[in-house]
Amino acid sequence: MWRRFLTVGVCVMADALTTPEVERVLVERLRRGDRGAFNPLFERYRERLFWVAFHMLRNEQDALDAVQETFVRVLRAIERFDTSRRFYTWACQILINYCVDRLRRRSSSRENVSLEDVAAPDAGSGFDPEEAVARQEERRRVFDVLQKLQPPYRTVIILRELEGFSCKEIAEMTGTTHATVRWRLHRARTMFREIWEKEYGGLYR
Amino acid sequence: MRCEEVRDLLALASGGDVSDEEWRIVERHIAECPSCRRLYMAFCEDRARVESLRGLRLRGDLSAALAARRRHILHPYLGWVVRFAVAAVVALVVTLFVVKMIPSAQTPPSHQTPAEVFVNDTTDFVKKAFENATVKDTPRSTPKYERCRILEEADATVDF
Repeated sequence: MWRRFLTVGVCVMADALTTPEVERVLVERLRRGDRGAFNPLFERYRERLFWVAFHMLRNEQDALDAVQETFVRVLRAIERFDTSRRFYTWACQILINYCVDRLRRRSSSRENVSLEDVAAPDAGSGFDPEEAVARQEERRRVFDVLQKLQPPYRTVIILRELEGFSCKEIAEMTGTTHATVRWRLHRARTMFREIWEKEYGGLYR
Repeated sequence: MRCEEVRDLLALASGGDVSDEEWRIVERHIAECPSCRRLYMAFCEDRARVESLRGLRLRGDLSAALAARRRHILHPYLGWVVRFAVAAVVALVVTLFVVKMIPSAQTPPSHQTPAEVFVNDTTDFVKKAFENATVKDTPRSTPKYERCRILEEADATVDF
């Protein structure tokens, strides 16, 4: 029992520290060749990166490969990492570049899979089956509409809405200008609206 | 401001991606124009829909598969080393098998055709078989021989 309390305490203390500071320490340790510093970074970001890759590539095996390749590249280029940036922004940039390249080459012959094949079903306290089914159906629709957007627009909308990056950060990550990101975001939201209207109707007529 | 001009800003304004000046223009316009207000609300609904994809949890087996990738990340060439080692062992075994099990491959007679080699080998084999099959020693311990020997000894000892 006391171990559990200790673990919870350590987690709370770790969260209390600001993330960039923790990351900076871990990156410094990685640069010195301490492979033990890799695990906290991997544990913290592997699932977030997986979901970004999955929304981009729409195949769970491709997404697993993308996350693996991203961390391999991170380890290879850790010396060049600018510690004034956030680690996740940098890792996500590597992941997006990999996914865009993969989509451009279309090297994968794997089939697209649906969201339900990958996501765990909702559960927990106050679990309402009907509400869960409705939420699942809504997510499936959103996922399908997102997949109908062209990769540049899908990338922008995933990074902005799901990952919460600012337009400036997205411009830095995708190697474009702030104005281009704003234009793509405007186009992406407008196209999403049009496809949603066409497929499922909506509030606006 | 006209609706066409404001509508270009509505999608961005729904996510807070406009400047303060642009937001003031949008806010003023949607307060007066019901059509643009509905469109703005629809964009906000869309944002909420997309954000519902946040916080998804990964299926158990996929989560384990993702965690298992750590080994490949830290040791990216381990798989190739193992594959190379297995291939080397297989190649060694095959080579040994070929060398040991095909004797003709060791000393092929250069002046004989394969047909001649076959005939000579067969002839040698038959000769050896005949030599091994020849009875060189009479089986002196057969009952018949024993009987004759006893009779001869008896004849020799009988005094007439």
